[in-house]
Amino acid sequence: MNVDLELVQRVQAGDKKAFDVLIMKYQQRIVHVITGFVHDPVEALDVAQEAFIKAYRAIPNFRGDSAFYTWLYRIAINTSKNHLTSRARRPPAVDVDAMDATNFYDAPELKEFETPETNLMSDELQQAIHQAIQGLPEDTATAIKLREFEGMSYEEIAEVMECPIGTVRSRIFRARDAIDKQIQEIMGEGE
Amino acid sequence: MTVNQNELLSALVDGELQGKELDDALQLLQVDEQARMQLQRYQHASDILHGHNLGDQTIDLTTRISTALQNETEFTSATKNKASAQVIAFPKPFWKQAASLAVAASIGALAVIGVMNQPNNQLIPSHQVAAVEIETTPMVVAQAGERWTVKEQEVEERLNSYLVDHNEYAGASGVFSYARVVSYDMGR
Amino acid sequence: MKKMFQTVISVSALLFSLTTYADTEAMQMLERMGVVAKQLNYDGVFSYQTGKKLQSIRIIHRADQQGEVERLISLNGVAREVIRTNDMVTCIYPEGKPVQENHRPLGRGFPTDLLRRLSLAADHYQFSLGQQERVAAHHTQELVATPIDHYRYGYRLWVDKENDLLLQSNLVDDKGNILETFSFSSVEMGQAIPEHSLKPQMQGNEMSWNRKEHDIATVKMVKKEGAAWDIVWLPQGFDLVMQQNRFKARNGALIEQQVYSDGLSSISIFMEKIRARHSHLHGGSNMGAVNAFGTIINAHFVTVVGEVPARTVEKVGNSIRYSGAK
Repeated sequence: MNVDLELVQRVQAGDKKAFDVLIMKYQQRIVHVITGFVHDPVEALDVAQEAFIKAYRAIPNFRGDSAFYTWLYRIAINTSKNHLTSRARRPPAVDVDAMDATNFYDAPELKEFETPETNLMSDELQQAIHQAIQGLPEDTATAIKLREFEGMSYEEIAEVMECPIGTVRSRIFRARDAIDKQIQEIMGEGE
Repeated sequence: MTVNQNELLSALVDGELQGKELDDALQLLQVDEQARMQLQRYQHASDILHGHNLGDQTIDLTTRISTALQNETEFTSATKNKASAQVIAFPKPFWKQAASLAVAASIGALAVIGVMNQPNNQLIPSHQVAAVEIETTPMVVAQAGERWTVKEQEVEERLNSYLVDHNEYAGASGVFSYARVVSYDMGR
Repeated sequence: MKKMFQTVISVSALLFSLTTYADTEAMQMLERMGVVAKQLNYDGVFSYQTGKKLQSIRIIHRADQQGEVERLISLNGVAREVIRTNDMVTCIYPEGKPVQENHRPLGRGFPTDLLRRLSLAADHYQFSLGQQERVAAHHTQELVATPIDHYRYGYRLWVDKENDLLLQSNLVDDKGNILETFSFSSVEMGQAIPEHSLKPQMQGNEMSWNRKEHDIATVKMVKKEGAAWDIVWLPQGFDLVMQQNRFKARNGALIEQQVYSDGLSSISIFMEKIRARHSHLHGGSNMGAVNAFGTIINAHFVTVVGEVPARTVEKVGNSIRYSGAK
């Protein structure tokens, strides 16, 4: 079963901690979406918090007929719009369709809200990650690329690379670890 | 925190944990602050790769949200059963696809169900459907609409490309033939 | 009593001749409709409904010495456009990303042999005149085409009485269910269409028009090497109307398309050489009223696509044999 759905079902069964994992998984994306509407980063965090709380309260009604993220995304958009309305600010004219959740970040309409500084940092981080991937042994690099860029499951990667799933998992882990170290260096928190 | 634990977290980022391993990971995250940070860092890197980027800001809303939710009632198994009764049985590969590509647009989901409700459907082998945990009878949802009833993006794209090619020759309603193309729901 | 009997006879005769007349009249209207769709300028808004979803689309069509240009713009949901010129279709989907355009060359289309095709259709559908109704504030005549078998759908077409433009169309299955409806809510015909109306709007501030050279299909028509495929079964009356080979821009895979038509409905069969490990449709799928059936034969993705019932694409698909390059 899909991990998100399993986590949701655990929350539905009373396990609040499972909701933590869903927050950890999606907070970055959700805050990014909300930043598209709410300029102020601090305010964006408040709106994100509100969205997650709304999601928690609505989770008994989550039926699994869309992916959890799509559902959460829709809540985040609505919360942002309501927030702007309550602050008497005009929401962006873009009609954001929840169906486009995946690609939402690239919407040119929302780019204007990003500051040059965040863009610069983003580029730098992205570059660092790509460099880290390039520096990996070929098999490790292929595994993470298939995972992150092609969206393949471990099973599919195992089939393509003709190796056991366990090997795929450890290759991807090694790649993530190398990437993590690179990012920590950039962000000045290198260990 | 051991390397092995980090591997578990890395697999969790990919949604590739189940059963006992998922339990272990959740347990670990509950007790080990380092593990929580590590998971978020892996997730952050993945987010950056997908353009979900907040610059050098790493955020952690978990604490403030848990605090805010402290007084909320925990859901009981009754709520769970009520909710899971509505969970629709998706074929396992669909969920995988949905998670990994974050496709899972609701229309796409409906489309997949539309297929499942067709008897003798060969699109999804029955053993894969059977592998899904079905707690109740699957809901009958609306007929497939304006997307191909397929589960894989690659196949959908190929069919779309054929649809465009076919439309030039589509029959009587020539005036409208490209309406199918322009209406195609591209949600993914 | 005798007089009454005579009246009955003459009424029947009249009805009979009316039916024949209706058939002929229906066929003629259909022919004019086909021609007008290619030659008339029009600008209107129509809805396209399949299942529960209703899509509003604006269509602008211009025909002049240079040929045809047609632009379709979705009016609800995510912005999408299709621009079709004589030999090229450009589909613009924002997808939240810079606009992607997708060029593909077209075949000749149908206009040249439309009349011949329609005369073929007479053998596989029963044509009749339906009601006169108003559609988009125009007087229309309904034409009904009822198929002779279960391998094709029926059509109900509402044609403008003045200009012969098709204003509404229903695709109907054998149980009488409407599978798909196109219907103009407003339309103007015969006016001059300015150039700017045919230019895509999804550019400038709203969307960046990102023309990526490598995305533009560098498609070559490949010399026909002789049919390597046998289509063992096709519904009665479906004849080959077009065959083309092309290379897919993205991966260079060779795709052969064969189009079969009975005059009203059509079926395309695609044979795509598999270039790498990919998944493919196995069995049936549908997109609204369009059905598809996919299978893999001799390292080719073989796909049958058409606005015909699922049983038809499946039966056609299952009858395809690879006979080797001849």
